[in-house]
Amino acid sequence: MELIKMTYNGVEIETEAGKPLIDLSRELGEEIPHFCYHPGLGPEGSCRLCLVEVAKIPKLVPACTLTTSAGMEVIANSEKVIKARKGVLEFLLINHPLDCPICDKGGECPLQDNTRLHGPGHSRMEDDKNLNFKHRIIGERIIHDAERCILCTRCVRFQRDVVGNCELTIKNRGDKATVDLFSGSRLTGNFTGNLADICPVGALTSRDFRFKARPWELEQVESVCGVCSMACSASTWWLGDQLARLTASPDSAVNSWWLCDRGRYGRPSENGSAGNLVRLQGEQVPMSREETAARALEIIRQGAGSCAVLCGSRSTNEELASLTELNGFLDSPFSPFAGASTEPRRFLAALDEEKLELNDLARLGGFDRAIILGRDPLETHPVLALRLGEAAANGLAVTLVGEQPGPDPEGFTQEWSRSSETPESWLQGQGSSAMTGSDRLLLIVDEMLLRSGRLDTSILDLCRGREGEFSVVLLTDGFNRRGLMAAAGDREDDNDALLKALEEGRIDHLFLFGVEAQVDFKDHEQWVRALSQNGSLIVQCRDMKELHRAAEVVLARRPTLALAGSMINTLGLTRRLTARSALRCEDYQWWLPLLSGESAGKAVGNEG
Amino acid sequence: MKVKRNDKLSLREKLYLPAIFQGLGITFRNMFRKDVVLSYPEERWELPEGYRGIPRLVMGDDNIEKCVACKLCESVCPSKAISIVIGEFRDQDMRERVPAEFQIDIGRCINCGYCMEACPKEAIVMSDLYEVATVRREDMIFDKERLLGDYERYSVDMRCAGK
Ligand code: SF4
Ligand code: SF4
Ligand code: FES
Repeated sequence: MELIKMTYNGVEIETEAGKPLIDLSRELGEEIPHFCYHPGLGPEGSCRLCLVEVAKIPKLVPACTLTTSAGMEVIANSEKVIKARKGVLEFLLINHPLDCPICDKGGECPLQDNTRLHGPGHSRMEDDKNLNFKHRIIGERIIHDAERCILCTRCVRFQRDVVGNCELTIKNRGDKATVDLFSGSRLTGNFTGNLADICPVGALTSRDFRFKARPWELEQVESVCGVCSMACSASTWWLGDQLARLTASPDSAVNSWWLCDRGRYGRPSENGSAGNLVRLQGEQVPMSREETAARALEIIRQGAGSCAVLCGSRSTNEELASLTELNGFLDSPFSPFAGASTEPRRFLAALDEEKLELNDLARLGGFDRAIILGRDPLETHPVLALRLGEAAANGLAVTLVGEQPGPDPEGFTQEWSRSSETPESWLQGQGSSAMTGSDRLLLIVDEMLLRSGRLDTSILDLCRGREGEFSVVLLTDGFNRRGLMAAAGDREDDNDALLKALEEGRIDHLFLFGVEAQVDFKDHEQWVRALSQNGSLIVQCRDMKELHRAAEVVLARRPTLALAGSMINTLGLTRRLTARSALRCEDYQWWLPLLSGESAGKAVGNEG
Repeated sequence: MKVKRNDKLSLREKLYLPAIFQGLGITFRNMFRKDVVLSYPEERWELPEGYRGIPRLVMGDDNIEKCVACKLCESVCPSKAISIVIGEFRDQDMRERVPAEFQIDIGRCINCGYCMEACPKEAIVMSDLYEVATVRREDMIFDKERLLGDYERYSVDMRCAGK
C-alpha cells in the first residue's frame, strides 16, 4: 500500500491511499458518525450523517464514499459539520417512533448513541408522525418494524451483495418509502440473523431474542461459534448462567462480519446434558459430581490394563492433551482419538510441508478459480459458502463437484457451476482441464472423501503438475477434528483396532469423552452396538444419548459454548473458546489426580 | 486524662436560681402553644406535597398497566429492589410489551424516587403510603397486582398480617 500525507482536523497524518475516511477516523479514535456505511457492505452514501468538510470542495462531502488521497485536508469537527449532523439527525427522527422503551435495540442502538452525541436534543416537528406496520414477521428468524427504519439500506445491500438473493427492496418514495419483501415472499436462507446485527436501529430484530433482556443486563464474551469446524468469531451474551444470544464478531480471516443461522440459533448448548449419574444395582442414580467422579476413578483404577480412552471432536486441545496422557497412564495400546483418520492426516502433512494451506479467507479475492470436491459447503460450512459466493460475485469461478449438490437456494449459488459427477470420475475426466485452465487455483476438499478412501493425497499431484500457484482448504467435519488430528500426529491407527477389541470383548472399561457420534465414527451404528455391549462405560459427552442409558457412570459435560480452551478450525487457525467468567462449572477433569498421583479426595474441586 | 475544669463560677451561676427560672419560663411558654405530638395511629399526619412513600404502578386509561417493562427503573434502582420479567401482550396492535411480572421488595426500597424519575412512561410513581411494617418478610415483596391495587386496603391488611 502506498503511504500518503494528508491533514485530518488540522493534524498532519500519514496513512494508506484509497481508504474510506470513516475507516480512517475510526483508526484515529474519533469515528465519524454514520448509518449506511458498514465495513462489510461498503459505502452507499444515502444517510448523509457522515458529511465532512474537505478543503477545495465547496460543499460538505460524505466521508464514507470519499477515500484518502495525498494532500487532502479533512475537517470533521467544524461548526458547519456539526450543524449538518444536527440537521440530518433531526430529519431522521421526524418519523421515527422513539419507542425505545419497548425496542430490543434500545441500549445498543447507533441511532440512540448518535442522537445523544450529535443530535439537536429537540424536535421542531409539529405534525403527526407517519404510521407504518410494526412487528411484522418477515422470516422465520426476523421481525420487522417499518416505523423505526431509517432507510439506510444496509439490509437490502446485505441480501443483494452478500447473500445474493435480493429478497429485500425499498418500496415507494419519499416519506412513504419502506423496506419490504417482494410480494408474497418471505426471508429465506441460512443468513437472515445477520440482518438484526447490521440494522442500525430496531427495525429488524431477532425473534429469538425478542423481549428476552435489555442489552445492558448481558455479559458479552468474545468467543467462537460452536457448531461447525469453521469456528466463526462470535460474541456470546450471557444473562446469568443462560446464553441469551450470539452475535457475529468481525474477523476477516474467517467469517468477515457474518454468522450463519445454524450457528447463531442452533446452539449446541441447548441439547441438555444428562447430569451426573452412577449405576447402583442396575439403576442409574443422580449423584453429586464429587461422588460421580470418585466412582469413575474407582472403575479406572481397578480396570487398569483393560481400560481405554476415546475422545471426540467436541474436546478442546487442552483436554485432548490431558486425555492422551491418561491413555498412556492406562497402558492402552489403542489410539484415543475418535475420527482422526490416517489419510486426512497424511493430506494435511503434505499441505504443511509445502505451505499449501489457505488459512486466511481475506485472500479469497486473489484466486481466479475454486474447485470444491465433495459436499456442498452451504450445508456443511455455510459461512465459507457465503464468502465464496461474495468472491464469486467479484469474478471467482466456483465449481462444485459432488454427487449430491445440495438444493440451490434461489440466487444464492447461481454463479457456481455444479457437476453431479462423482469427484473421482470428474477428476479423471474434465477435471484436469478445469484445473490447468486457471492461474491461481483454490482446491477445497471434503475430508469425508479422504476418510472413506475415495480420494487420497495424490490429488495434490494433479495440482502440482499444472502451471501457476494453488492453495488448498480441507473441510473437516466435527468441531475440533483438526485438533484431534494434530494430537494424533502420524500414528497409524484408525480406531478399527479398538472397535475390533470392543466387539471381541477385550475391553473392560471405556471412557468416552466429548464424542459426537454421527461425525466421529465412520459407522455410527456399529460403534453404538459395540459400545453398548461393553462391560462398563464412562461417558462424558453431550451427544450419544443412546449410550447414556447403557453407561456405568455418566458425567456432566458442558456445552461447547461454555468451554474454555482452544481448538483448531478447518482453516488450520487456532481459535480461542472463552466461557463466561463466573459460569458455574459442572464438568471437570476428574482424572487429573491419577496423572499427578494424588488421592481421589483431593481431586474434588479441580476445576476443568 | 486530665480534665481542665472551670472552677471559677460567677455569682449568678453559683446561685442556680436564675437558670431554674429560665427553664420554667420555656415550659410555661409551650403550655399555651398548639400541640405538635400526634396520637398515632388514631391521628394521622398531613403529608406534604411531593412526599415519597413507597412506589406504585399506574393503570393506563385502557385498563392495562402503563408500564412497558423497559427495565429502566430496575437498572436505576440503587437498592436493587425491583425485578421485572418482560412479556408480550396478547393483542399486539394495542400494546406490544408489558411486564409479565413486576416485583418490588419494599423491604429493600429506600424511597429515593429514582424509578419514578427514570420511567419514560410515568408508569411508576411514589405513593403516599409509608406504613409497611409487617411480621413476615414475604409480605414485603409486592407483586404487580398489589403495586397496581388499592394501597389503602393493603395497608390495613398489612397491619393485620400475622395476627
Ligand atoms: S430496516 Fe434497518 S437496515 Fe434496513 S434500511 Fe431500515 S434501518 Fe436500514
Ligand atoms: S421505568 Fe416505567 S415503563 Fe420502564 S419498567 Fe419501570 S415502570 Fe415500567
Ligand atoms: S455513512 Fe456516509 S452517507 Fe451514510
